[in-house]
Amino acid sequence: MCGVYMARFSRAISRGLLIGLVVAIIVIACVAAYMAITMYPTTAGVERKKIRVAVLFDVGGRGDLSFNDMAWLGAERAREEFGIDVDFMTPKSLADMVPLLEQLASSRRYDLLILVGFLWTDALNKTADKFPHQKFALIDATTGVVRPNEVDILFREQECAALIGIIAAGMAEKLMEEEGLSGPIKIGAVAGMDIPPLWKFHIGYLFGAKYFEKKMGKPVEFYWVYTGTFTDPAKGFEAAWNMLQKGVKVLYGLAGLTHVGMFNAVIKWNEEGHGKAFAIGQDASQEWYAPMYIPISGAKRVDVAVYTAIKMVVEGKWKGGIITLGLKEGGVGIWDLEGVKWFAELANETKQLRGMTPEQVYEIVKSVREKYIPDEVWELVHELEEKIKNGEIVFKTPKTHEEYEKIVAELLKGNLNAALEKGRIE
Amino acid sequence: MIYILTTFINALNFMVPILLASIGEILTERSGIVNIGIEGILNLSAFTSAVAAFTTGNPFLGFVVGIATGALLGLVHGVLSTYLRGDQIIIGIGVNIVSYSIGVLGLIALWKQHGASPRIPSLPLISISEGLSISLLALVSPILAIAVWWFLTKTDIGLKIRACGEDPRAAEAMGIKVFRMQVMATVLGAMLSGVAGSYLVLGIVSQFVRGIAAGRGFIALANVAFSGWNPLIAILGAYIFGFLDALAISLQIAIGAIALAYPLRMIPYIGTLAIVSMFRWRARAPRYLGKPYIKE
Repeated sequence: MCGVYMARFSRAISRGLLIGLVVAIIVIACVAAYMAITMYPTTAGVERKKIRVAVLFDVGGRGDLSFNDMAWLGAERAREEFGIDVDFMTPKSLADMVPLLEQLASSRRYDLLILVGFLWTDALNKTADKFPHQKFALIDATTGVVRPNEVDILFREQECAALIGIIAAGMAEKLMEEEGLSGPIKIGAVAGMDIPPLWKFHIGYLFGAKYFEKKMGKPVEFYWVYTGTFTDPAKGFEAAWNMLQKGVKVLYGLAGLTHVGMFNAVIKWNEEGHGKAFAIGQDASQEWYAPMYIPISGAKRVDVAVYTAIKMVVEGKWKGGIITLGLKEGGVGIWDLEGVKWFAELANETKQLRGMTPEQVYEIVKSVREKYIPDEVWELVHELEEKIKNGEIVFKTPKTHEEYEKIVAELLKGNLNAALEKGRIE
Repeated sequence: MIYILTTFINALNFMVPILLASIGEILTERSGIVNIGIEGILNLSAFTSAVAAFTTGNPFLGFVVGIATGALLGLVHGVLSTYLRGDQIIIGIGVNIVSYSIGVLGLIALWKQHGASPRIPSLPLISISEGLSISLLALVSPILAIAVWWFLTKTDIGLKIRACGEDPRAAEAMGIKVFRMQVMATVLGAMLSGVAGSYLVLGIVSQFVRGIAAGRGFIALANVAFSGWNPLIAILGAYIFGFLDALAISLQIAIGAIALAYPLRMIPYIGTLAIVSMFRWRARAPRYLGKPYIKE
């Protein structure tokens, strides 16, 4: 009895619902059409002169405290300096990238689309030729094709990773000294996916470690783990924990959100009394996250790259092709204390800096750096930095995985020159 | 040798979220309701527990909130798929999408971040020996699995729940309130997933990240089928999944050859395939699984 009533009732609901849905769709369509007709002339007429740029993050999106946040920073700087309009977008998935690019390019709304990250490469390759009127800037990757409407901006990651390698080995030695441990100095890295930018980091970091070994005469044991993901912090934690169990003292984070898990592994390791270890951040200054245990970060100035791309458009100096940024151009490096403070302030503004002020972060980082990075290590760093800046040595950039494997194998044997395209280390 | 031992112990921490979600899902599916929204429950309870723990500074309160979130999502799923006769698969997909999105929007609203929360106070790990730590839940979750097994097979309510999954019509004839049982089983199951979600944030990572479940909810679904709807075998299944994950990492560290990085990372997936196809427990799905029960 009750059941029959229910069935009739639900049938009535569904009919009503269907009609309602159809009406709603028609209304929405009408409103959308009206808006499209009325809005278009204003954007085309009045604001057309203002340069519009869209920054498209990779699937990680903002909040990695690293790569994508830096892109935002560079675009914001350009917005302030050039008075342009900037929009930010994050694709939902890899499959979403091509449709999004096609939609944006065919809308002719933006003078420049900035694509942040390696994962855009394929999508750009599929769309760039179809929209010759649309300028694209691909950050941190290259399609391998030169197009007049496309600029690829790459970093010479090896250069900053090499400096970090020296510092990591130096800090690890100091930590082992403090704990009274003997044996080889152990450093490691938690990496994301096995992709070309990370090959370069690997080569540079390993080069730095072996450079330290050669100059200081102390053996360095080197660990490198690909977690295969940029978005799973639990994996990063696991990889880091594993290496810490192996006696690794300094870990370098190269995996976006995944290496945030590495930070937490290092923090827990210290706080729960298993020993003392440090983490090193990358891209943005990440010291503020735990200044006691993250004393230094490598800088990959995605902001400089984004800014450079926008500047080319604003100044009308657009030229398709590949640009690389290194130590010399300020595209990579090590974050100085001012940078550390600036990021701490940013974290403070977004209520993420709990129980500390930006000044305290600055002070802690300063004292930890003074204590654990001795002068002779800085001297080594500056020596190598000079050689790189004045072009005395140039790193190889592997084209294939085989070449990359070969370079790493040679470096592990202590053959520093295997990583160099130009110059020699004696 | 010692290193192999550490891998076995590290795997326990990996096992926890998969195990909790699996036994929750077994409980739910035994009542005839399929809830493929556990990935979403993991994500949302991880988020709410992160917010609670961040604002109060108390990780235990975070767990309570995470469990409550699970219960709420379970209630929604249960009511929609029984009294309102919704398609259970579609509801599950809906929960997955909505939960993920709430996490993303919440991050933006609270911390102006699109990917990760700030650091969140978490539970301390239990130290076994130098450098070896496991989470408290690594010990508790197998006990919970045994409790669920006992509940399902040895208690009256457990029998009633199973009756609803096998033949709701007969159960109804015996005076069991089928819908009420199914909703209860769904809520309880979702609460266990809520614990799993909270654990991801408060147990290990100390941070909420967009999509933190990273497919663990779906692995749990696979584990349910693998275990033949038996919580005791689910412990084994979850441990194997956790172990293969840990093994992929520790082998990479031990061998150190980057040429092998890809093949080594395939271990969890190939291993899963091999194990699932090798073992055949004499079990079948609850007969009325996933079919909406329509009262006469």
